[in-house]
Amino acid sequence: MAHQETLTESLFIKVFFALLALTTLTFLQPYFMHQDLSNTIGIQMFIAVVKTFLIGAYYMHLKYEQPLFRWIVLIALVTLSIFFIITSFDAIFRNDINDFFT
Amino acid sequence: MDHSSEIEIIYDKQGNPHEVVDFNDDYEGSKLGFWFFLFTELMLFGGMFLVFAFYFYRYTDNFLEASATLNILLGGINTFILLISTYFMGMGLINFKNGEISKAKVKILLTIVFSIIFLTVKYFEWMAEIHHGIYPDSEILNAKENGIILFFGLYFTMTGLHGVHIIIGIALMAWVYFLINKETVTPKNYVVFENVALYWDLVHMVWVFLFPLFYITGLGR
Repeated sequence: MAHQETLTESLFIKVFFALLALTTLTFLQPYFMHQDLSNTIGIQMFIAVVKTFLIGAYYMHLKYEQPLFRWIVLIALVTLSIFFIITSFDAIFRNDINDFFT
Repeated sequence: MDHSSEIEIIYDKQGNPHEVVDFNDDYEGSKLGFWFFLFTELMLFGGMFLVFAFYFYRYTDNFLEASATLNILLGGINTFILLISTYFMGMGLINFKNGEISKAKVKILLTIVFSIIFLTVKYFEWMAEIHHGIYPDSEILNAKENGIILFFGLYFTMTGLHGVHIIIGIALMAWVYFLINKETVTPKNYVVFENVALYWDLVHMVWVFLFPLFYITGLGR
């Protein structure tokens, strides 16, 4: 098995504590940062994306894998983003277009 | 699998003989196949998050009202439980690769225990909702506004599908434990263990988004 493993136990534990801190932040953010809705969602999704990045890079070993695996994830994310962008036009403009034609 | 020592020969178009070699140890291929499976999982949950985002945008007030009624403490506890279970799974894999088999086995069992605690907390959370008459197609829920019906429909569907993934994960971990005992999975041939750990990380990753969207947004009013 020609596989180079570089994720060490100490790094794994460090990432765990980073995830623990971010999870605590997720839980407490609305209590100590009284933001409006869009800011709360923005901050929460930002924390979730950082956590996902840490999980993907270290816990799922993507940092140490060959590029093909990272491409698979990237293609999945791009595909999903296209779905989200197209649907967002529907969500935002649906009634406006009806108004436009009537 | 055929373990006979007979050599199998295959002939190319020019009639030259070639020995057929199949030792079933394609590490990269096993992982690549599993990553393609994870791709489909991302699409499955991604599609559900898309539906959530669409209706959240269109029924924002209803979604916030419904979100505020969820038990944030139970959801939060489950977030930490799942994180700890992921830690044990990943650390178990590192131990296993280092040849510390008994340590790895203990960590697989701990992951299973934490997964069962997750499901138990989820059970109490769902039962509380159901006792309040909140479940898909209930009379009390159907009498509410459209956005609230949609929120709880998505809540039960998405956390339910996530729960099914947890149950499958427990079965897979038990299977890995069994394979380690049988010495089919060894510190030199650990791809099955590694793929199950990848699956568990994906299950954790889905919850990383489920928790803030369902439980926290209601606090942002």
